[in-house]
Amino acid sequence: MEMSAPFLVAKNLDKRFGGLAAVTHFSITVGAGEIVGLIGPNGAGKTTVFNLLTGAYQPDSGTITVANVHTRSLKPHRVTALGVARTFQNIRLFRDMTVLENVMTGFQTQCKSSILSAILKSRSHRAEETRIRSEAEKLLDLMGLAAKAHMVSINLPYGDQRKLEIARALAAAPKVLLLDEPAAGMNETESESLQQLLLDIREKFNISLLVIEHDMAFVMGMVHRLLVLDHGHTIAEGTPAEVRSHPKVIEAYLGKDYAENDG
Amino acid sequence: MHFEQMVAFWGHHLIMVGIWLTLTLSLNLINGYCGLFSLGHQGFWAAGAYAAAATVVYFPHTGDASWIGFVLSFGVGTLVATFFGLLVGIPCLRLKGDYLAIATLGFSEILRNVIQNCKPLGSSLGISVPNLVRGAAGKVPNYVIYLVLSWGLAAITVILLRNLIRSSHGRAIQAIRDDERAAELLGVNLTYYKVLVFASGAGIAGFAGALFANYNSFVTLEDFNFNAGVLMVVMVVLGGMGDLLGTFIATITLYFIPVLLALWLPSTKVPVFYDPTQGGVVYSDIKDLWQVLFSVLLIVVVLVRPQGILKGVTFGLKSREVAK
Repeated sequence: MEMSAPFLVAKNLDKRFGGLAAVTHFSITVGAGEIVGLIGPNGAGKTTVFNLLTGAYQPDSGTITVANVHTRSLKPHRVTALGVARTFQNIRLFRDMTVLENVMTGFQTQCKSSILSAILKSRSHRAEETRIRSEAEKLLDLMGLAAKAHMVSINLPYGDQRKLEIARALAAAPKVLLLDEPAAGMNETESESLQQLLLDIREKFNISLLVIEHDMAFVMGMVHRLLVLDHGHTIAEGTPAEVRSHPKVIEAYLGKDYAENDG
Repeated sequence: MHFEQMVAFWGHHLIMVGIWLTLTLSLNLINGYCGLFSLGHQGFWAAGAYAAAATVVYFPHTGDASWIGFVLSFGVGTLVATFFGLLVGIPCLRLKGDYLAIATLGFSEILRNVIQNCKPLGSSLGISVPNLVRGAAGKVPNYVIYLVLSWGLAAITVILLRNLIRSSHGRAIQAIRDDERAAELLGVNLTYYKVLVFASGAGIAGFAGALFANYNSFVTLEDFNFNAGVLMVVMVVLGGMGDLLGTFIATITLYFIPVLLALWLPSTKVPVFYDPTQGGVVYSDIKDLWQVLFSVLLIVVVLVRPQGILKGVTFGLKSREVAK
């Protein structure tokens, strides 16, 4: 797998909330087709990093470029249009919509028809709707949710809600998919199957993944590279093997727990 | 009642209920589908009505020119109301829930206050609108014309709204209601859609205001007071936020309850409270108590079935409204 020009580059990001330095001097690059992991203890600033990368927060200093476009002053919906999508730690589905409607909403950045053509139900608008619907159905098929397409989304079991959120994020045609604790609340079987699903998605859509996770087995088994955050600083970066044996990391985070699980 | 009286009576109310339908449908776009709590919709209605009234009053009209004035008043009413929709929508972009409700109500009351102090608009006394339709359409009775306009407007509003909701733009609007942060991160431009929804809702209400001004021949501030605004919101909430059929039924029902009470039970009294100094139980006409009834009903609905009494109820007519 080659490292072509990195798609997402963040340099020296700082973010303070009042007196609290949530993220300090954070840098990351994500190249095409890479799977990068972001780990660290609770409160280390991982979700803040996601919010900075997607444009939900503005960094106090530093730069972010997505596909060579500076995104620091862009609103989130413009960053998404450039190719960045994310899922959320506590799932944020559109509760009153059906499963299919949730995914169809994800295609927003690709909808070209104007309001006028929508109101008048023009031919081009209807063609676009048909295309979006069938693309959405394909995504649901991929996730194994096709049978539940017309269920209201909050009625889905937890694992399916997570998969729906991923399908919806994929609808935005991202080049980088940011996943915030996708395996949270899953047992071993479920997380193994999710891991395989994410690897398949990466193959099929040729996208990069940036994954925040606490489940070590899950993340170590699928990433090319890891960054470890503690109190907003990056304390280690490298392959899983390098990070695993890094003294700072063991000290701050992995410690005994991982040594016990290590086969 | 004599036949002509009956026709006039029902004709009037059918025209008015058509106007109210347009108001609640346009309010549903803002409150129901986009989830923004607007309590000032009556202000947009007022803006349209007064702008149309002023157009008709001050537009030079003699003989055949009357149609132009009539049609122009609708354009002016809609534009002015849309302008206010933008004026209110843009500063309110970051307000949520109660704060938005207060801000929109504030707009409506400020507008009424401004009009009250404006002599050319009749201030507290109201403004008389010359009837421009009568001259040109001698053969067709006025109320038939207005009936067609009123229900035509409501029908067009339903169709446009329905088409909008079932499109990608409709999904974007509803996504804002369901989770605006998640919507934003899927590429939904919050500013664009919130302003669009306010401006469109206001514009439609303005058109209904122009219709009201021309039909009623008289526009006064009391038509657009807080009570009217609350009644609109109650109709939308009871009918189901974002449920067109429910809104339709709720609007017609709630509009006709006071009308029918006054018609059929004009002297019926109900006990209201007990006061020994007034000789015991005090009674009040039931026809005056409908507002209390609505308030109680609203409280019960919000507590027990917040999605609205009729939300999702289809009477076997159609499948749930989806983005098909």
